[in-house]
Amino acid sequence: MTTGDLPNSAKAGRPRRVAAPPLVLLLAMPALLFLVLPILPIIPMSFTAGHVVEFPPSAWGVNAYRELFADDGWRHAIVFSLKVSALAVFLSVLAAGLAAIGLPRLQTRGEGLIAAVILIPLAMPVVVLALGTFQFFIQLHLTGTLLGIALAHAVLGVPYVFLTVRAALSKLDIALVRSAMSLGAGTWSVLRWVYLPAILPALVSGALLVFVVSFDEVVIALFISGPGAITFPVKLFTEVQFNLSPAIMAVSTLLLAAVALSVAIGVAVFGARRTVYRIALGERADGGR
Amino acid sequence: MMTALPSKDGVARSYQPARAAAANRARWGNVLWLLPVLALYAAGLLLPLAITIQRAFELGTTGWSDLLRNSLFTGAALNTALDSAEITIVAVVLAYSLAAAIWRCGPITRALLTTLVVIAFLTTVLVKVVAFNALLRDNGVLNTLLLALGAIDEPLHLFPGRPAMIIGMIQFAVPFAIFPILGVMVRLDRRVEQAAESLGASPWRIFVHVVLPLTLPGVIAAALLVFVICTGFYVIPATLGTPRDQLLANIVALYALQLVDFKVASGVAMILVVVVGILTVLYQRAERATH
Repeated sequence: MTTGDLPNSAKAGRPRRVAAPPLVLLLAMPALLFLVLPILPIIPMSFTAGHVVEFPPSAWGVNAYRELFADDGWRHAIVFSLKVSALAVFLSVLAAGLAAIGLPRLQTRGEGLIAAVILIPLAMPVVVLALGTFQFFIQLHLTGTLLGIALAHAVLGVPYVFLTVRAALSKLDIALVRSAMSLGAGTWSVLRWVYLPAILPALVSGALLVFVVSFDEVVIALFISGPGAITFPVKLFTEVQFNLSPAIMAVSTLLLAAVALSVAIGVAVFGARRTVYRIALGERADGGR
Repeated sequence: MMTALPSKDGVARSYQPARAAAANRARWGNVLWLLPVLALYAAGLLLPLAITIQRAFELGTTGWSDLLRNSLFTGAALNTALDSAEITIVAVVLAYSLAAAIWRCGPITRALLTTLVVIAFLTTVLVKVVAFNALLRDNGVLNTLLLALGAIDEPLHLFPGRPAMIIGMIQFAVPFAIFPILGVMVRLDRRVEQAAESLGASPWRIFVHVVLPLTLPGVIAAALLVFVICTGFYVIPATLGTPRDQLLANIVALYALQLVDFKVASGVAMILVVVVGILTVLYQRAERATH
C-alpha cells in the first residue's frame, strides 16, 4: 500500500492544463452531493415538536430526544449491544492476536492456506453466516443469548485484527524474539515484553474495527436474536420496517453525529491520508450489510 | 546465526541438520498459538457451514429441481443479477469521478472530500435506510420540494419499491468503490501524462488513451468488489423494496425465519456462497494486478 505517495505526487505535478482541479471537482460534484445530501434531512426532521415525521417540521422541539432517552426499550438494546460488542472484541482480539503471532512461527508451507481460512469471514455473505450459526446454535441452545451473538460477531471480527496485527508483525525484527529467547526468556515473557509492545497499536485499531463491525451488525443478530436478546441495530431495523417515528430520526441523527465526530477527530489527529489508510485496511468486509 | 532463505515474514529458515529435530519440535509446539482461533472458528464458522452444506444436500435431486424452478428463487436470482449489474456500473462511474477529484485536488480540498467520503462510508446502513425512507416516500422530502416548486403535480412513487432500493444500494456502494480506484491513481506516474502532453495530446485524449487505461485495473477491482457487496445485500431490500424486489439474501432469511424451511434456505445460501466465492477469487486477482 503506498497511499503515502499522495503528497509527493501532489508536489510533483502542479495543476496544469491537464484535467485541472476545478474541472475534476465539477465532475465529482454529482457523486459528492449524492453521498452527502440524502442523509442530511434527518437532522432537521428529528427536531420536531410533533409526533409525526414531516419535512420541514411544523413546530420545532426536542420531544423526540426526550422520548428516546425515557424509553427503556432503546436503553436496554444499547446496553445489550455494548455487552455483545465488548465480548466479541475480547474473543476476536485474543484469538486473532495469538494466531497472527503463531502462524509465522509454524514455518509451514501451508501458511498461506491457513491465513486464507482465517480470512474467510471477509468474503462470506453475512446472511450465510447468519443461517449457519442459527442452525448450529439452536442445537446448543445459544440462540437468543449474549454469548451466541458475541461468538458469531467475534468470528466476523477476527480477520480485521489478524490483518492489522500481521501488518505490525511484518515490521518486527525476528532477531529480537531470538535474542530474548537466547537470553532465557520464556514464551510468556517474549509475548509480554517483545510481541505485545510491537503489536499493541495494531491490537487497538483492530479492536476498534471489531467494535464498529459488531455494534453495526444486523443480519446475524437478527437471526439469533430472541426475547431479551435484541441488539440496538436489530431494534432499529425492526422499527424502520414498521414505520418512521421522530424517535427514529433522533437515533439516526445521534448515530450520524457520532460518526462525523469520530471521523473529524481521526482526520485532525492522523491526517486525511492515514485515516483513509486505516479505514481502507478494514474496508473489504463490510460488504455484507 | 545460520541463515538460509528468509521467508515472507522475515523468519530465517534454518537448514542446519543438527538442530533440525529440536527445531521441528519447537515448530509444532507453535500450533498451540492457533488453538483459540480454531476453537472460535469451529463454533462460529466451520460447524455452522457444515450443517448448512448438509441441509442443502438433504434437498436431494427433487428438492433442488423444485428450488431451481421455484418462482420466489428465480425471481430473486434475476433481481440480484440485474440490480447488481446496474448498481455496479453507476456506482463505479460515480466513484471514479470522486476518486479523480481526491487524487487531483490540493491538500485542503482533498482532506475535505476524504472526510465526507469516510463519513458516508462509516454511516451505518440503517441510518441510510432511514434517510432514504424519509427522502423518497410519497410525502417525503423530495416530493414535498418538487410539489412546492411546481415541478410535478402528484407525488412520484419511489418508496417502497425498486427505485428507492436501487438508489439506496448505489449510495451504499460508492464509498467502497472509491478505495481500489484511488489506490491505483496515487501510484500513477505523472510523467506519463506529461509525456503525452508534451507530444501535443489534448486533455481528453490524455484521459482516454493514458489515464483511463492505466487506472483500469482499479476500476475492475472496484466493480468486482461492488458486485460481491450486491450479492450480500439484505437490509436495504428488506427496508426500501417491496416483496417483489427482494434479493437472494432476503430469500434465505424468508425461508429460514418465516417459512422455517431450512433445507431450501441452506440450498439458496450454498448458491450464494459459490457465486460470491467465484467473484472473490476474481477480485483478488484483479486486486493483485493493481500492485
